[in-house]
Amino acid sequence: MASVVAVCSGLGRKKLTHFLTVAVSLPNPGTHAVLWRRCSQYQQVTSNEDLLLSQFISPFTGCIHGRHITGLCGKKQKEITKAIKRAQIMGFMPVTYKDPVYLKDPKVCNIKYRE
Amino acid sequence: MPRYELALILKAMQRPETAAALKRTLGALMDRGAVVRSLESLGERALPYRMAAHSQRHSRGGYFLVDFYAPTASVDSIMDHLSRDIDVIRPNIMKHPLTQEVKECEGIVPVPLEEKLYSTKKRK
Repeated sequence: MASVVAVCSGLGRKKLTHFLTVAVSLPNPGTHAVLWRRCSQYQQVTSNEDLLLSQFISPFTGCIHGRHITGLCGKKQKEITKAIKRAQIMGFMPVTYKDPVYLKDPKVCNIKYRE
Repeated sequence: MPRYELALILKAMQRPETAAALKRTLGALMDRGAVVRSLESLGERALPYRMAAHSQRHSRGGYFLVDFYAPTASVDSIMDHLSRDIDVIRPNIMKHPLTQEVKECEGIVPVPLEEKLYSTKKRK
């Protein structure tokens, strides 16, 4: 059950370069399926890009997803969390919800919502 | 001089007034010894939440990014000046993100768990 989700960059939005390729692979059949990717894809995390940062928050409550959901390593998770908090305080990103413009983004986190 | 970035949110105003406010802001920056590198406009858009500044509530604002070089001692006085300007809703100065060095991240390193199963402490 391995599939590669490739996002084409032909969308008419600013900051296209931050849509990333995610590889889903099962390491061995016994383990629980994990969304695995290199967190080195997120090279520079700045607080201006709400497009990238909105992929890591819940669309309903605006909560930042934890490490078990995002699958990032310690350093990158901390960086992303700090960038999200900074963007929220500086007035670039909403706090209690996800900007409706970004609701159709590809799923980067390992979370499943009930339809 | 280190490089800073000013994320400026101005009140939603007409074009000549916005231009005057920006001129005033950049003049204040240069008076305090800053060298402005560039000014970008991210457009006027609705704020993510209603903000209150100078006894007024705003729901729309113009976003601007100024990157500049400034002596470290003047950052305080720049923030002071900006917080007193009534046209500025929210000023934020931070270190420029491009100056931060990007460290290569190897991801989650798999730890051999068999070694952690039994304690290696010496027992009498």
